[in-house]
Amino acid sequence: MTQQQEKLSAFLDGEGHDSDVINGLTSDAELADKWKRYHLIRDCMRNEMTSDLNFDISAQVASKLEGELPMVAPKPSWKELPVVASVIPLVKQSGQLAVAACVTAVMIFSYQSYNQPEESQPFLTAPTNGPLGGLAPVSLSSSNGVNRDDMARLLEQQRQINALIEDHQRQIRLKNAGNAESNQAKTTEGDELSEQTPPQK
Amino acid sequence: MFYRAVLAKKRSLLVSFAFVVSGLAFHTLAFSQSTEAKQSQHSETQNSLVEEVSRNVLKEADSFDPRSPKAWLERLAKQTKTQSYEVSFVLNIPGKDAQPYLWRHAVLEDETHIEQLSLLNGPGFEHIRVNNVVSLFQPGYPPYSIAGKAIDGPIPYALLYEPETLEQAYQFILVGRNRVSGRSAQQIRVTSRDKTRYGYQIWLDEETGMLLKLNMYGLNGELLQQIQVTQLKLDERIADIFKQLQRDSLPKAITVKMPPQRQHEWRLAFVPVGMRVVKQDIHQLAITGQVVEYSLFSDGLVNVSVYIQAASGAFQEDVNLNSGANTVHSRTNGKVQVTVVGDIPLVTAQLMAESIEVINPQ
Repeated sequence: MTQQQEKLSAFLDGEGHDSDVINGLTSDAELADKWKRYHLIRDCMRNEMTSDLNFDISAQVASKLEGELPMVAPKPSWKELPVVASVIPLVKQSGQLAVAACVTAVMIFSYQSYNQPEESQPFLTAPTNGPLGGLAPVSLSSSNGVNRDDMARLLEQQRQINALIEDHQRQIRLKNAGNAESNQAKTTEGDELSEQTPPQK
Repeated sequence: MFYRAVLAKKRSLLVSFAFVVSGLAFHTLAFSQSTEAKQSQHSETQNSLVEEVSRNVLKEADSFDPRSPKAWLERLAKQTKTQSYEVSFVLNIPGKDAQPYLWRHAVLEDETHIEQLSLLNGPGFEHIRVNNVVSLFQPGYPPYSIAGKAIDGPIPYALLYEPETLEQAYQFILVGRNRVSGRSAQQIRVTSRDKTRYGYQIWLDEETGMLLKLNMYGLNGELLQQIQVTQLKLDERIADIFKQLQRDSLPKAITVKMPPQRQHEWRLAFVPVGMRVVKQDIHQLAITGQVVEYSLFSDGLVNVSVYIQAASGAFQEDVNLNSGANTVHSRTNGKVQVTVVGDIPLVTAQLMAESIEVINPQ
């Protein structure tokens, strides 16, 4: 058998012209099959494969599927999923909240800057028309050509743009707060009042 | 003899190759089967599809029409407002690190709505909303609470809660069904009516109506931002988690003093369709202390800030910055400097800045 295979392989490579092999190919179905496969493998290795491979293994797959048992595992409903895993993080978090509450008294200095503009309102006009000036540094424009000043200007520009981007983000964060403020303030005050009044009576 | 040995070796190689080939063939077969399945799915009539979807969502209100994108969005808003859920999602901006978030919401027995949003990487941050008060915990800052209808997270507030406000600026088109996060989802395309803003694709879960995926695309179709839900759990018991929250220990809500609203002496002749002024005031920038005239525009999905200030000399030519979705455009005429900041294409920012005009005082 192995000798026959070797002969076949040699024949495929165009080396032996053994009549045994040729006879075997016509008579032996297994050998013919092998012949077919060798050709396929050779084509594949030489990169001569046609794009549409026509293996017909669907019959095998079908028979395999036929023999397979159907899946009968029930679909788990979400009610059965454990929540325990998610409970633990919040236990940790509520501890964090308690700590946070201690700091509440010292709270909110980050918003102080917001209260400033109102106090300095009188000189806060930045008119878009009419005379301007006074604020713009004259020295900068006179030393325009120097490279080092250019650098300074770019840095200053960077700083100002960063300031604008930061302000944009802050404004967005406060956007919803601003909207809800009026009705919200009322409801919380209302709640607090209703809680406080009964003991007073 | 030597030659035969080589041949034998070659043959063993061939045999192993044959395995690879048959594996390959099996793959192609499997693939062709799945495409066939897809085709047959597509060839179903529209009506049977609709029926299937409505069967899936039968628990929904009787009048739910799966053919209307508006109905899908209303359902999304209703579900996010009323259900108890725990959602894990990842925010991905191309070129940046992915950011994982945990988002929980529950309605307690006393009708209290509690919502939580945490950033899970790095020092992170924590938002907790109890009804209309949002508390913010950030490392490095004292915690504080401010009044707010919703947590301002990566998912646009208006999309989740007030989709009806988006209709002026955007149109919603049902694209088809898809599989997202292991669930069947309905895909909706969102485009601005005048094509001046970025576009979105959203995927909503058919069973629960919740958001599964949100992509943001640039004008040329490039992906700018992506939100992908990795886990979705609707469970009444999430309320139990929040019951442990000591609500008294949250910081008291502070009132933020806003600068008074005013009417500017200028206006923008060009504003994208559906964008409205949210606020206008004069305030100082926190970093440089510069005084600016300020307007905030919003269409619900994106916010655009317009700053007018006296030209400082630092800007001699236009500034055009664009990274991902964020755009900064600044231009000056030597006296006044106009800056537009926001998540809009640069072209739109330029158009807005160019269109500024002075309102006659008379």
